[in-house]
Amino acid sequence: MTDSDAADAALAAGRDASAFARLYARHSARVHALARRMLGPGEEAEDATQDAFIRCWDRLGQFRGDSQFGTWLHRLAVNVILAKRATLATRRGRYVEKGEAWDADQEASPRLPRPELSMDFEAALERLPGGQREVVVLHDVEGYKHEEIAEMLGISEGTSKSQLHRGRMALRKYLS
Amino acid sequence: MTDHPIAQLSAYLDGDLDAGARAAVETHVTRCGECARTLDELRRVARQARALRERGAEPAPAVWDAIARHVEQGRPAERRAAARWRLTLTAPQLAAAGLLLMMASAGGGYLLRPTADAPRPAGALVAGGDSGTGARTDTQSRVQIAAAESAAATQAPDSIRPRMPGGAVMKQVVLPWSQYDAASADLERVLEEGRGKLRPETVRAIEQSVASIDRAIEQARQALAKDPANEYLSRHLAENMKRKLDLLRQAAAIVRQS
Repeated sequence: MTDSDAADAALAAGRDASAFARLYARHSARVHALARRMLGPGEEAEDATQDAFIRCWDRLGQFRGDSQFGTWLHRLAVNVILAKRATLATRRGRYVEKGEAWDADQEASPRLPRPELSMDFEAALERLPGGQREVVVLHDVEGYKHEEIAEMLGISEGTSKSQLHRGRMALRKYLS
Repeated sequence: MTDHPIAQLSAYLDGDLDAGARAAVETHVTRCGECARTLDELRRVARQARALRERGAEPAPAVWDAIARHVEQGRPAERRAAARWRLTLTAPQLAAAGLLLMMASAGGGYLLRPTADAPRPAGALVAGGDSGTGARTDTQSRVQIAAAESAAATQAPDSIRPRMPGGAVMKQVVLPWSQYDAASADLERVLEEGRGKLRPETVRAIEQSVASIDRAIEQARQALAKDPANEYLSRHLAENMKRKLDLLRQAAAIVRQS
């Protein structure tokens, strides 16, 4: 457990705004990155990040310190993002219909040094169709199990596993 | 030619196949170069995705601006925090919290209660009101009498006998300070015993916050001694006591986790 996080969470629960600002400084990048990977880059991801931290401030009294603050915040952020995802479902459908969904037969990108490679990989991840992207992010990036993902997304475990496999198969072209 | 179990490779990688299916995939992969390459690529995809977990993306400054406005407003969060406080304290703290909130809602941090052996006046003296004639029977007096008697019924009373402005002596004052002090002392003891487990700057931050709240509590107590019926001061005192107990409870949790 991070001493700084625990101390600042305790202070922020007592309505210490400076302590909460420190927590934001340490955790906002990761929460925003998760929101971007789940919702795509842009306004929705920023809205979800904002909503997650507002809910965090409002519910800090419920954080009892029996888990790491980052873990607690992360789970809260996932719930906010999934709620926002539900309101964007129709838009995601149009996204696919426009043909912007991943085409597994696209040519692989040219070889790039390691930092650019990871940027290419992340850019490719963001271009996956919504269902595949969400499962790859939740399973491979964030470490959730298929049972948990199925519950979060309202799908079966079988669907979660097949979406993961399709997403991975599409992304392997961006490894090298 | 055996069918290539491409569709099962991710499940194999993640350990999601039963023993029979896993053995079949392993046997195939040892003989099929194409499937072996695909399996290796899937393994690298999973590893590269996992590496993204700690990679952040800073949000635009406007995101914090909106959050800061919400934090500054504070009121909705304060109301919810007050409700949650009742649910998360230990039993002694709940008793102290309940009494504090009841006293604040009754409009006085100090309440008067007749002593057992003294004749009961027609109406209770409200601290800061009549200087001893005992003739008031207004609604506020009845509420305060009821609150004091209820408080006395649920805990052992602490007696102090301050002298009111104008010379009237409070017969008896019922306050839950002993229970608040006991809860606070218990938590402070946990923190003191676990001091060595925390970083110095963490201890300093907690001590500074506790000292700041203690000053606010003492100022509110002193102000209430001069103006006992002041509802704002009562609420201010109760809120700061709540803040201190919340802070100490969280700090004690940090020590237990260290």
